[in-house]
Amino acid sequence: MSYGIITSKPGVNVSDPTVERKDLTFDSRLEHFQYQTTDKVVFTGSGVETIAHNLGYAPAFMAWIKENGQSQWRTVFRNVGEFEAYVDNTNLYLYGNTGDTIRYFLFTKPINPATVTDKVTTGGYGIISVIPGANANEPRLHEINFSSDFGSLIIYKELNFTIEISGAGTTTSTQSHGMGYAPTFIASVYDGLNYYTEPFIYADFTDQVTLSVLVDTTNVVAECSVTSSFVPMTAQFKVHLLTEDLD
Amino acid sequence: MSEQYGIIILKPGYTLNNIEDPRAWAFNSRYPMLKVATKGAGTLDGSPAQEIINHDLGYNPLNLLYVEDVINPGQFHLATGDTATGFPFVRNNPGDPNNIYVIDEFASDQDFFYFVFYDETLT
Repeated sequence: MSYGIITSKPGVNVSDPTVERKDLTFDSRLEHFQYQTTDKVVFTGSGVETIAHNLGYAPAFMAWIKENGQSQWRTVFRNVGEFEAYVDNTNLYLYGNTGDTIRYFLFTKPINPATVTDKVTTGGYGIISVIPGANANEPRLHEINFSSDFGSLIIYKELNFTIEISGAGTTTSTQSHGMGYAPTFIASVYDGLNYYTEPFIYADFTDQVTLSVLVDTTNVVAECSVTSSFVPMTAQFKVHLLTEDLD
Repeated sequence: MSEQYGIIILKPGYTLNNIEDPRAWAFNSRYPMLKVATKGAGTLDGSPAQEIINHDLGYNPLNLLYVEDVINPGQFHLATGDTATGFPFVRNNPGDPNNIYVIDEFASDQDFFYFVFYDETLT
């Protein structure tokens, strides 16, 4: 390929034909995750908050919650009765309890591309890159793989944790992230057998294991909660801290 | 900034006074954006149900999995490693760095959609 823009991580030779795409910071041939909308909702009661997104399709999204009285953020997952988030073609739905705060990001990429209708973006200036085959003068929103009008999911820092667990209960490991604000994050965990997207929860009739990540303005905390049947065990975490602010 | 080369694009509303603040960046050539390696869809059906997403990256990549609500089609939930609630979850096997496994203990025509990124996580 003889055209396009590619940038690489420091120390990586971008012109090396063997360079791996994981070592690139940007490649105009690829789709990048960006968001057009972010906000936070503070729950004044328990139940659902409905946010109209006006995209005409269900966008990929992520959300994090700071529960009532807590200073740490955690990933929103389908925790029915406590908190959860889901989307459709019209709205984002957030469930929480009184005093909870949920930060959400609605990405430009549709979850199901088949549902996308023609929706042309407009804008007067800036930098735009579209997927191969799309018209950069009149792209549909999901065809844009980078726009300077949008916010981005940029990996700022990666932190690794290993926690040796010798007894039942909750064990944590804490590292300072040094960013000065509570950053968004995506994490993976290892339970000694497999890798999972955080949070990892296993439960049967008698035992439970929970591996989760908590973030505040100073620290990242990896947390293991296990019952005695699973110890001793070693849990690993890799936390990708993104540049966006949760607060 | 300590290094004086590269490209930084700020988000609308920020000025050059914010250039060292990561929150202001729409792009910084020194830091990777999440890059989609592959995306697609599948259906879980069975007890237990398992579908394999082949990405051929040779390492364990970041991924996002969205599951369509069976009772309310058109509604999408983000799936994680929660294996306890009877909801689909994502698992990567250490000995298989080219595939991601989407699993549910019981599923009947459960549609899912995924994004796999080039960006590497635990391996």
